[in-house]
Amino acid sequence: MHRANPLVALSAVTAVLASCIQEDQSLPFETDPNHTTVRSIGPSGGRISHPLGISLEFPPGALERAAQISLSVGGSLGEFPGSPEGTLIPGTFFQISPAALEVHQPVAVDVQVLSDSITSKDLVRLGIATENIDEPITTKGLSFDLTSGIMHGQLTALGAMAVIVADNALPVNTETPPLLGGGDIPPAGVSGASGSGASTNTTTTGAFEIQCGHTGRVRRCFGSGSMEFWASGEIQDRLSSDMLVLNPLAIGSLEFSDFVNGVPTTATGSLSVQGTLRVQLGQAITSFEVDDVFVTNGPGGKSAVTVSGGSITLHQTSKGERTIGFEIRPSGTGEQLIVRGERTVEFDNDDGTKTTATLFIDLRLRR
Amino acid sequence: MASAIRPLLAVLLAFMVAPSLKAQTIPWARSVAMAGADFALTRGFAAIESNPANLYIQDSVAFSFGSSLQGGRVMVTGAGLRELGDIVTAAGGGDPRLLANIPEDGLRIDAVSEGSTAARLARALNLPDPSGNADIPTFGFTYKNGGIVVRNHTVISALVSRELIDLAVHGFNPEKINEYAAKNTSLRSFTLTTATFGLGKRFDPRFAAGFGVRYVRGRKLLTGRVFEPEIDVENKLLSATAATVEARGGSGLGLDAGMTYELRPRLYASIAIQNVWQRMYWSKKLFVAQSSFDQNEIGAIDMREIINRFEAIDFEPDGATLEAYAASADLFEESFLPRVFRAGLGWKASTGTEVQLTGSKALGEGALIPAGSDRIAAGVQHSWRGIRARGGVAFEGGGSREFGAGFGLYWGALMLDLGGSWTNGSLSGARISGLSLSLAVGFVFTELGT
Repeated sequence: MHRANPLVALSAVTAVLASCIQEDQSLPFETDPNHTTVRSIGPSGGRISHPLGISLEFPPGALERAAQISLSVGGSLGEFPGSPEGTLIPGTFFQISPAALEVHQPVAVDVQVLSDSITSKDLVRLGIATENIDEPITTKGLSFDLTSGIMHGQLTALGAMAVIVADNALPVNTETPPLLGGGDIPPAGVSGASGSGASTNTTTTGAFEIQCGHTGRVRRCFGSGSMEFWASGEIQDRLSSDMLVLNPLAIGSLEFSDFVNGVPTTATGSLSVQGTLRVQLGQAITSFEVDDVFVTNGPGGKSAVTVSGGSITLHQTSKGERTIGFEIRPSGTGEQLIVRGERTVEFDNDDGTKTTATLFIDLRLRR
Repeated sequence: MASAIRPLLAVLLAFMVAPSLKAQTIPWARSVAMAGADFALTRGFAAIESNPANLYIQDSVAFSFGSSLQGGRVMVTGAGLRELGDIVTAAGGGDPRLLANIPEDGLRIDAVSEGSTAARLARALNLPDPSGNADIPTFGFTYKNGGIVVRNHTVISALVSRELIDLAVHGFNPEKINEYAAKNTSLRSFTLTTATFGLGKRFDPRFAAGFGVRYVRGRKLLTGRVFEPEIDVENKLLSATAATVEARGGSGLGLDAGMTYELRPRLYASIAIQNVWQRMYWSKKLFVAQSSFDQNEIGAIDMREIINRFEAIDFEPDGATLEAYAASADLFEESFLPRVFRAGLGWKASTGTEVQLTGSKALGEGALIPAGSDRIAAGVQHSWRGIRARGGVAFEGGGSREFGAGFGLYWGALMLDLGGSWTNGSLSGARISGLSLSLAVGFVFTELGT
């Protein structure tokens, strides 16, 4: 008995003490969804963030004078202004005030995205929707860390914002593009003729045109078939097979003239192709910009043209001499001119050599 | 790009070079030599933390003092220690076979060391002191049936993705740009100073019980993370960001209890629970360090400059980066001491030879000083004149084994103990290798005043 008492007492005390379990200490952050972060940010820049998953970095010069910036969690996704083209991702709707404050430099924005709420196919379609309904989904310079779920992007205006799975995207075909067969570029709307013998000169009116993009009267490119992307084998080997071009935009016209023997010798016009190529590299989604613009700029704004087989060479453009593949097809009562632009990317090889890869961009111009 | 990634990896590996673990605190040299089996027959200052019941005057120990001069344990999951060394020094020209055993989820390194050992290594390498100036060697003493141990130790755990190991071994291959990833590459470390007071009492000639009270001073708790590199394909630019968040300061209290019963003459049975009850709270004032690197700046500067670039500043919740938030996510997760249950048998032969068998198990949560696998250890000590030869083996849950060996030299009351152990085995198919070393000095008076 004398021996049992301390044993029993010690055991009892031990059992009581052992029943007290420590719980994890909480982080000293405000995670209340009603919390609003307010900070003063001046012309020298600064950062403001919200513990629920957003951080804004104002670079120097972004603001003209010091301003009180506030950051709060937005309401339900249904309250997001406008009708963004895509599916908003829950937990990424934030209000940045004052919305009317002008920013002179893009503001870097990081948003925490729960990647398990997005399918793997949608990961490459991420963008930022803003309350400015006249602007397309922001995709430029956007990257996404699949491991941490942090998305890096840029904002050019304050106000409501949310991460979105954009639907304004064109897939990049992972096949070798078909050869373009060239063909006769027929003059249209003959306005005059001259010449002698076998040689016949004609002057035409009527330009081949393309206009596809985001807003207003302009159609989306993916619905019209006006634009198509192809990746060379080198790109397919180096990068992920799931590639998209977000916010594709093509505007331009080409008018051929001064036909000699049915072949044009000059052209006037311009072509602009823009978009954000999105690709997964390892555990990160990355973007690079497709931005190809040229204007004929020879005498009278024209460019001398040489047609050879399946290619047209424009000798005087803002980008120098440009050679593009082409094919003429009938299209309803009119004609369709398919031109192929190329965007090259250079990859380093392990042995020090370089591999040039090409992104092919087919545009269908109609008249 | 090669030059961009290698130094990042080197930063992580450099953190790991400091002795590290999947163990508990660094045991005293006597216990290390017996693969952790020293428990039922532990005595003097060595009993204070593990089995306070044994503080009762056994073998006429009246006063004892010991100090663990240097000590540490490193455990590697996913490679052998030699392979780890080869990976660290590969510089892109390593043997491809080094990758063969690296698990898909990466290479893990756990290390625990005396604060003094961590500080010494950091000074030698001109790196920041991970111990937070906790560089006083562990020491303890007992007087009659009470005693105290003051311990400084630093623990570092790091995980490096297989893809980054691939970079270290093979160097950057631009043709594999689509494969590189940081994934779960992360770091966690902490430094604690503990002062444990123990008291043992003999209730009858065969039964003794004891308790311990531990004050814990948290010096530094840090988590860090490497984020996926951002790659600019067009301009061939790579930038990567790493962030650490730390809490400086904290305090806690823990209670231990133990009892020892003499089953038969010279045969003892003990049970003890470390941290029967405990509370630990860290400072809520946090500090953050974050840096990004691109290949141009990294290639031109010394790796230590990169490490030293991580200068901690106040963590401002209203102005922190998301990387800082992400790095802080698990800062306080189980940031307290685990409860550890031990039970053991010890037999002392009339010749002085000792044999011990000890089982231990971590109960509940608590990741500071991760308790490691449940284990059972057997150890033996044989005395011959002033020499104590020791050895032991332990079997840990998951299939790894620890083999220990060491010796003690005794000149009257003075003693010098050296212990080491080697761990190998596998856990979920991944190879585990470990090494422990501990050196201690002390003295024991068996009759006070003589």
